[in-house]
Amino acid sequence: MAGGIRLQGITKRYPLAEGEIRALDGLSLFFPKGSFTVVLGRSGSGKTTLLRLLAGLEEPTEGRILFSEDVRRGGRCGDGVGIVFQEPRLMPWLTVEDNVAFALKGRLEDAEIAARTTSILALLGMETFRSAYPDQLSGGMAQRVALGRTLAFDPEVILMDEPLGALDYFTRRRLQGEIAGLHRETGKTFLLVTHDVEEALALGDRVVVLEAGRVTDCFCIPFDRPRETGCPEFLPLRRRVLESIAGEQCLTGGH
Amino acid sequence: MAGMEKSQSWVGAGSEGEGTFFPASFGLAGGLLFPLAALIVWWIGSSLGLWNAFLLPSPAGVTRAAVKLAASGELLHHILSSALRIAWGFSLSCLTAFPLGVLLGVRPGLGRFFNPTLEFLRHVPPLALLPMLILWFGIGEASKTAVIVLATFFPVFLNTVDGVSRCDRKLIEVGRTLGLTERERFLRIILPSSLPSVLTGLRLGLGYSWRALIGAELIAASSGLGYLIHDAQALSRSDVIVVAILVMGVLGALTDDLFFRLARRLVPWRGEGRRGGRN
Ligand SMILES: Nc1ncnc2c1ncn2[C@@H]1O[C@H](COP(=O)(O)OP(=O)(O)O)[C@@H](O)[C@H]1O
Ligand SMILES: [Mg+2]
Repeated sequence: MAGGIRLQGITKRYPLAEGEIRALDGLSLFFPKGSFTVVLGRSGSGKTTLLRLLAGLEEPTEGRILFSEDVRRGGRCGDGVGIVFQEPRLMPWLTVEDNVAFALKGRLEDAEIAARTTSILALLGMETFRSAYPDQLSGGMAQRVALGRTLAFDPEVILMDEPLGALDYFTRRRLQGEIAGLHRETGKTFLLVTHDVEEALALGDRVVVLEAGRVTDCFCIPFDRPRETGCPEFLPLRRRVLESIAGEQCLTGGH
Repeated sequence: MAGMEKSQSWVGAGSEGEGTFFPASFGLAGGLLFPLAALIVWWIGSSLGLWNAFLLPSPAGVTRAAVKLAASGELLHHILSSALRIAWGFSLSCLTAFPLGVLLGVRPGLGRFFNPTLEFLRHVPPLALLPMLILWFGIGEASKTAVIVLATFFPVFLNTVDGVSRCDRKLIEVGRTLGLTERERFLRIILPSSLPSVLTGLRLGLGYSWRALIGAELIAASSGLGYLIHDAQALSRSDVIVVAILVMGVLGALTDDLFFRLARRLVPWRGEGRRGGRN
């Protein structure tokens, strides 16, 4: 059978002072092993909630999340789901190196931790900052370290919650390229959520549009990465995605 | 335009720009400005006989008293017995305040059992309890130790609770997603993140221990710097009192500085360490 993560009728409700809010509303989705899915939605559409459920930080109110054998979540290192949050969330008292090694301490031999950390720092181009503290890093570097920490954990599935949202345009473009490269090299299952249409087009095999906790559309992006989303062949696709998420009036309203 | 950008007239908050009026490099020398000025005024005033030497003895008289006290070993004896009391009392205080602070930090629900009692005790000055403490523990070391424990418990306790309970939930979540057990999350996330607060509490506590101890020694002791003052008062030796005051100030500042350096070494990620805190 095809490996991956299957969501079956996932609903997540949060109680409010009066009534409740449906952050996710009967969501059914399948993320095949090794795929790169981008979930695109406006803020408040339920993207973060979706990732928190997948990461096991919260339980669904209704529905089930099924992991195939080869991606099952467990406490053990190298087994399960890793998440990169919107903010780097680095431990301020640890150096870059120790932050990357955070999940490995006490689980692997010191020599192996050092080797793995070194190779990840090299992969991310952060060797020169290995003994820096988080408050000495720029936003882009901090987010790289956060990514490195998740990579070191070596999960089968990597979730990313608008990881580049707080970065400037150039850093964002560069890190998008790095994330695409990581997906190619590791062959892991990537799931990135964003509100940025360009980012979705640049990264996903598939773009799932989420609105008010429901999937309203789904697009396959049949181009090789790295992609130049300014190319003419992207125009019709971009238009369709924009229409889907923003509605026709928003596209023409500006002119 | 290009020429203007190159000109030297641009002044900003750069490496030496911080506090342009008193340059940062003034450092320790700058800190000695006021003591030196006071010493000069004191010296001139005394030599001109502007005040009665009994009210404020001359620098020379104080120096003579200090040398005599130091040479006889009396000064060291008093310093050591005060320091020993602080070492005992402060250790005992930390051994109770830190674990209790951690407990209430991770289990805030327990607060409703402890808080009213602690809130009551916090507002009773330790010295006010001294008569009772002497009644219970006698005039010996135990009553002094108890005063120090009472004086230092709250800064350590409250800052520990603060540090532990205010650990960023987001960091704890990181631990959960990386497969850390609850025990590991406590040891590797909550405790280290509370360290700056805990150190602030220890530092405040250390400062309070001096003040409370000297008070206790003034009232009931047969050794220690407080006793030295008390004894000198009885003998009308204002020069000895001034010596004791100077020693206390210097010792207090030195301990604090030592502690501050230690804290900065333990908490290298906080550039400067933290002043302030709860008490
Ligand atoms: N812990 C919570 N308690 C109450 N409401 C929440 C909570 N988390 C999210 N929500 C609500 O659920 C909806 C979806 O939120 P979220 O998943 O954060 O959206 P997104 O990440 O797409 O911006 C929002 O309306 C938000 O206010
Ligand atoms: Mg979000």
